[in-house]
Amino acid sequence: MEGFEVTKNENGGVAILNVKGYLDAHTAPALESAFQELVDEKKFRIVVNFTELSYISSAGLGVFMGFIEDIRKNGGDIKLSSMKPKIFRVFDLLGFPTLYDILDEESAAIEKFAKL
Amino acid sequence: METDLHEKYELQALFDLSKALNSSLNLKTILDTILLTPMGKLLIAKGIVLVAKDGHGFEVEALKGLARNMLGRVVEIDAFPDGPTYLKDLPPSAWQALLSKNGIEVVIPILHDGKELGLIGFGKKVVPIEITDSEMDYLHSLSNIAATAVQNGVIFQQLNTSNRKLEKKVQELNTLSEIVRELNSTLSSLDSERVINLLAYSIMGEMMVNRCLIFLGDRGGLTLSLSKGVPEEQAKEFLKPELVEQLQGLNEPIFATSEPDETLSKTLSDAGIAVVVPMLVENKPKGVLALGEKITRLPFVKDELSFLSILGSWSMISIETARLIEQELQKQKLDEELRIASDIQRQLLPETCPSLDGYEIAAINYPSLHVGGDYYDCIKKNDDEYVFCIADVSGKGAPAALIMSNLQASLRVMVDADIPLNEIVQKINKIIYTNTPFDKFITAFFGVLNVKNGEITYVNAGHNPPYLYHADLSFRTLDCGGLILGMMPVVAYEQETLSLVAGDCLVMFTDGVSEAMNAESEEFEEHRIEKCVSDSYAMGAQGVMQHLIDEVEAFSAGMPQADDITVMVIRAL
Repeated sequence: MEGFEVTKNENGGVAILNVKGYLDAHTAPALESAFQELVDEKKFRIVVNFTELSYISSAGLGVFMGFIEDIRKNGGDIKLSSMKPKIFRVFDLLGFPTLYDILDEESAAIEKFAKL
Repeated sequence: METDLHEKYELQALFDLSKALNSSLNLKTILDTILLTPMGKLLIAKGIVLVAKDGHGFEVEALKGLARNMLGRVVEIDAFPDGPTYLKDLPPSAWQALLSKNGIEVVIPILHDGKELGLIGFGKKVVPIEITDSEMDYLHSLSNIAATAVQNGVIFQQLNTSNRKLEKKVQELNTLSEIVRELNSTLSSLDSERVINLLAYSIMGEMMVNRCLIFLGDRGGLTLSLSKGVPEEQAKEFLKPELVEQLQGLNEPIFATSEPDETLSKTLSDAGIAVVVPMLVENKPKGVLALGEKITRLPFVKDELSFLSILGSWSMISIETARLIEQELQKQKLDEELRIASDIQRQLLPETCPSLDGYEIAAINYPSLHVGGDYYDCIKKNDDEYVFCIADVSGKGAPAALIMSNLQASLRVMVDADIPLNEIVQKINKIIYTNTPFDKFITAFFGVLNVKNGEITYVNAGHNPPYLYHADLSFRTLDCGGLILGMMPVVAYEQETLSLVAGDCLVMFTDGVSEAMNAESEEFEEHRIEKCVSDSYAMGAQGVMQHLIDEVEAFSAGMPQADDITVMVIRAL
């Protein structure tokens, strides 16, 4: 089975999480702790870049549900960018586009924060 | 001439329209074309299309120049017009009034193979000119041309909807299969916390909820095993005895909004819980899943509840199975350990005792189920001397068996050393002390018998004192020696030397004999041993041993044998 990796960087005061590989029940805890670290550091403006993600399951999506309320309560948001069509399809199927900004480019997602 | 050209132009326009309509399968595009083309051509400002719904009634699917909140409205259309008609010419009805109120004046049916597919409506022209008869004809042709396209568009839309439903199902199945796969892979490590986390995340992602509580339990009660999005104190409110009873009695999902019990319904809404799903295994609740409202505010539908029930049950089954497997493994491990221990023990005991010139010797060991650490041995030292020993290692199972092997090995090595018995025992004590943990020790009785001169020298290292019976049935016990083996590194042992005469009978045993218990929790004790020996003295070494064993067995009939039973008898002929 392919692995999963999450790396962090920052761009213009926005935390970027780059996710790579397979995000499923098995690997979801890694993303969870990445989010938890950002929340602990009070970094509430987050963009998740999906460029290198090749698979996501419902459990992977669950991680996003677990943090969104807390982050928005603190004036931040999780914005999602650069999904492969296959990945977007899963988000779309489960109704995520009504709740999350999903953008084509990471830069567009960062800009969205700038406009706040 | 001019009419010809005009007609040609009209025909060309209809042809273009037909091409445009049939080039798309998207219902919205088709309906937009149906509205916009005549609106531009006839300068009409308002248009509407209603499409037949699956069941009955017509739904507003497209509109121009009208309030958007009309979209999606469903109306019943009675007296369906069979051609382009002015609304005012139709008998009054609710749908007619609704359209009129919104400024629609003309309606044109969309008919396909006699089926009423839908209805197009237009308002009046923006210029103060009525719609002419030939324009009505044009609208009629338009609806005829549009019929097939609309029919295709509707089918395509239905197909899309079912595809999406299907994809949603596939996604659900993916989630289920992933859960099962994951659950199976965690079986070996019995990480039920991990299973619970996985269950929670899958549900949160699939249902779009951010409050999730998982309670695990059995008849004994419930425990909170996971809480996401709900403060723990609040989650623990569910563990009040009266609620636990209710939650454990659930055999189908309940909703906070329709829960009749006040306490439960208040606890649910305080914690922001919308739905509670029992996790059943063979129709018995093994846990409870409590979820907050969906972030989308959409209600939980029946399909989703059954999905949650299945997911919950499967997870419970996995946790249960993992627990059972772990138990089984534990048991197997224990059984294996005991088997090894009893193998070691059996191999350490002599198969037969050497025959001694002028003496009878008999020995037996009945290992208990748990394999105690009893040991006996009889070793030829030289032509005249034999070393014998009976011992009881503290503890049971493999650890005891290993210590026993330690004792056996050191004794066998020491036997050949040309030093007094008490010094041999002192050295063995040091070895046992060094090789065992502080809580492990051995009681042992060692003796050297010289068959030539009938002398016996012994050391008793804290063992149950053996009996020395004489022919007149008087007896003494052999107590001389010192501390049990393995307690202290350096211990001095005393030894005693006696002379055996014909008829003298030495009876050695372990505490499995003296402490054998009957159903009244009484122990066999020394006085019964003494009686046994007196009663059977005449029957020789073998007879004394057998009688003692028989009596112990009769005494403790029906009770589990807690310890090894070992007896060794030596009798001078």
